[in-house]
Amino acid sequence: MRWQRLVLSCIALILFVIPMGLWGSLYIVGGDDARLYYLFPKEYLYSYLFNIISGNSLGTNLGYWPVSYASPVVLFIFLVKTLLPWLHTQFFIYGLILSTGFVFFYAFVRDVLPKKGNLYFWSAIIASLYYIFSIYVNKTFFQHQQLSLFLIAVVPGMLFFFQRGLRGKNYKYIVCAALFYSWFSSTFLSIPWFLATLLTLLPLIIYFLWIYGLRLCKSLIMFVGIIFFTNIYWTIHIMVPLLFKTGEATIGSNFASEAFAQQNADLFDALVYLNTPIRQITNTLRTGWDIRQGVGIGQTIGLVYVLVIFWAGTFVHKVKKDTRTLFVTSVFCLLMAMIFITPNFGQWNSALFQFLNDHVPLFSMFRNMYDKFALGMAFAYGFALYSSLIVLGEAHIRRVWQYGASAVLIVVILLQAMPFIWPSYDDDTYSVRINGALNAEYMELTSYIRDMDTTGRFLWYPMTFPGYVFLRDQKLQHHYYIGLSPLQILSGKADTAGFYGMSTPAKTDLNWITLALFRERLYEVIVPILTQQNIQYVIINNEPFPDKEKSGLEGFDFVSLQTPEFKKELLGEKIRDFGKRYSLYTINPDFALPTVFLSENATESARVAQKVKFQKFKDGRYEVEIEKTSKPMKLILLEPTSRFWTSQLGQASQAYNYGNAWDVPEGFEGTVILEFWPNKLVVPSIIFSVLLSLVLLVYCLL
Amino acid sequence: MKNFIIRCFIFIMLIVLGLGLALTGQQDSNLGSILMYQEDGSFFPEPIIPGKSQKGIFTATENNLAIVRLRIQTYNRINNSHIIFRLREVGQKDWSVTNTYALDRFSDGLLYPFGFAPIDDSSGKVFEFELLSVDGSMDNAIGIYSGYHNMALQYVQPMSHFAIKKFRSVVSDPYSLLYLSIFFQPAFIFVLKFLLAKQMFLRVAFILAGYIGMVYVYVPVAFHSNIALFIAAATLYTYLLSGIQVPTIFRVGIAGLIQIPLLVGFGNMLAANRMATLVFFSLLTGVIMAIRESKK
Repeated sequence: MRWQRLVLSCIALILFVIPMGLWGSLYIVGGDDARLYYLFPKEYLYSYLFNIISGNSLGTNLGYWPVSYASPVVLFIFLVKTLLPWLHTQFFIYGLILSTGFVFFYAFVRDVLPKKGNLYFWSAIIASLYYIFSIYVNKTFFQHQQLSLFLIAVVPGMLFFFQRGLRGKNYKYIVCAALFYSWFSSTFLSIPWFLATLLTLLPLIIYFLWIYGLRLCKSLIMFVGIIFFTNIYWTIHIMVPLLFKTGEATIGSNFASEAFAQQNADLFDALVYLNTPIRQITNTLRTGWDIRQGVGIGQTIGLVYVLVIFWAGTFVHKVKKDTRTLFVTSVFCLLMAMIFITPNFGQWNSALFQFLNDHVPLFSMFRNMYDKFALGMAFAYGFALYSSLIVLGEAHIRRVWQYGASAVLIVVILLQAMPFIWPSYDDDTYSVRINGALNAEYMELTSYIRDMDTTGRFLWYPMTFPGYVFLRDQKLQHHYYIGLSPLQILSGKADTAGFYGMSTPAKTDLNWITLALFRERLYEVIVPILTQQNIQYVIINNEPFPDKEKSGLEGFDFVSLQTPEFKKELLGEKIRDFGKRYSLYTINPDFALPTVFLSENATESARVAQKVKFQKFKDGRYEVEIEKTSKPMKLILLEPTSRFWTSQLGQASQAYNYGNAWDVPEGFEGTVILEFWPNKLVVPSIIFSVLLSLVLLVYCLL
Repeated sequence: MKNFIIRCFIFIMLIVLGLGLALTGQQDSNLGSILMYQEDGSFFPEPIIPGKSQKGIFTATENNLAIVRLRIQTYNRINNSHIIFRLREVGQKDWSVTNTYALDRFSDGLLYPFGFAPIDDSSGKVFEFELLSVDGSMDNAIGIYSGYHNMALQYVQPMSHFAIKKFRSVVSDPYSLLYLSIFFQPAFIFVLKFLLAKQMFLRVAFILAGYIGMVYVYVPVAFHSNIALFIAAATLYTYLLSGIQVPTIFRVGIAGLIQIPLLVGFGNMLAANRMATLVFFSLLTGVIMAIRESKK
């Protein structure tokens, strides 16, 4: 009906303008996700996202690993920024997520029980409002604001398309679901949240299986297949090490490792105390130990959602079978979400979580479960609320009760959402919201580094424990970007910014070893470790630490251990200053190493035995000219180690816990090409993915 | 006759199972110790902060005193300060026990065990204890509840006539009896099924199901957390046996749910959290029964 569409559109529009209208004009940046893609999407695409061996991490060493899974979303942001440059890109996108999330959730629940009437319309509106304003979403996803935020819209959208495809026996919708997920979810980056949500929706999947049987299986195969092949531009780089059985350290193997599972076991034990069972029932959530106060009397208004579900339960015997089945399914989803978001309903609950962590591969990705299962919880609560309101309506309870319940629900939803809709920021002394530009000196620094003719990497002094850099806003005094180093994005040059950056894929505990060396003040050992990681320059950040972040950046006294003596040992010649804030130096020439050189060994302290001439091409190849060698030597390449580096000299071995080495026989002379061959797959796989996506899009539109 | 023997066997098995669970699920007092409540401890209601310590005096009635238990008040928050517990015989100059505790995992409303090496000849001696705050403040410290069963002493083996004393300590204490009673509920229900008329049985079963829930929520005894699972299973079993209708189960859930704000309001977070756990299981039980009813 037209008026229903009008109401739906009005609510969607209001949701769309909330961030732009009420959340101020500053950009919220920093953290593990940097969130700078809202400001520099073009630079992300150009200098960072499609690198697979070096320059594929921000301030750290990642090894062979693709990071392009975020590229469709960043491309979308780039298009928004290019087409609507006057808008606040970040809040425009947030508004879009809120409104589309609301509309898709509405569409999904309406489609699950396709009946017409005001009851179904208003019930879906209330449930969708709950979903989008749920504290489980706004205290987690909108708190860290990582790219997984897009799942708020993607999950209900994907489920809507998928469900419609199943019901209408129309595979075009299954394709739509797969494409929608592929383009907007950042796939790999959001997998822990996505799979956690699917786990909570397991009863719904079983319900679908019961209704659609084989059709569901076919659709699932099709869905997964499309996602795999449309994402071949990054999945190929996960497949290559598996196919060639190189055993290279990857993020996937890290998640599956016993050490990681053990770390998680310890974490689960602690997190069970973070939220007590009353949290799930009263619709509240504690997201950190700094929130010390328990549930207050005012917060118990969140009970109304469970109350409505229980109330509906008292009438469930009066409604038709399809509604009853929907009610039972949705409540089971909610129960699943409740036992996973914090396993606190008894020791059996935490033991179940622990068992899954120990025995199900990759289950350990659900660490910080109160965050990972938050979307599933919001979805399940909204879904159960919808089915409950339908039960109450179909059971023909008195109108006054029905309207009263709806009104109370709307009031409680809005009351709980007020701090989210209308946030207050305390920016007087410190803030991580910036006005859209980093300070001019930093931009000058990155511009200078971009133009430098070097293959070397850069080191920040002082390094911080989480590997964050702190960069002041251009205009606002107490406003900072504090997060992963954006040097790679803005200059195209790799850097090391902190403790975790000193770990290498070849030696993952090198950072802890270095920390011990710092404690023993063995700087003459530490600096060679850094130069063996191809670090050739040092950026001095002369700005004082922001007080509020000092303890977080300092971890294990890592910053204080970088004494003036270490600085003296580290620095070579000053290249230039960038205002008062930054100074650029070469590294101490006593320890300096070029990216490619000949050495007598590849295991002990690196020393240049014979210099070589080399050139790096845009496609990542190195052309090395070697003058006649007087004895057998090692050709060293200080790029992240991998068995996929090839040359006519044969198979590479590992060098100095970081790089690659080839045997060079005595008397060798000539030109050698060093090539990381998976680089050849980058462009063809992108072309394949784009073409396949376009073909599938045309298929959907026809 | 055959049926009678089978029923007797099931009844005995349910009693044995209940007893086994009761013995393993009690956390305030294990099999090898005796818990004796002290009713003479009165404490000020404010948090224990530096300069304001809680003190108490008690007389040990047995040898091998090993634990002093005090009912902790967390004021519905995580307190991350520290506290010192110390104990000495009255008249002694030096404290014989001095231990420091981190407070972040102290449970509200339960007896916290301040333990020490057993004192062999404690019987008849008068002891004094003191709780001092190391680094607490008014909004970051614990307190001690005053009132019924707010303090207990625990004695460990060996001691003479241990079994008799253990038995006496259990049967003379209302909390222990209430606690034990919930574990025999499945056996009672099983017997009553055959003794009572259908309508009467339905009512009694409903009351008994409510009873074990109330004991679980309102009796501040430290249970093993899986006891909630037993209560859920016992309730489901009661519902199945009595044929209680689905709407009634959800109504029971509502009755539990509306108590939560009151419990939070009165600051009884232990009961509020236990009630929340029961609400979760009520919802689970309700949908299971709804599926069962749908199939009919």
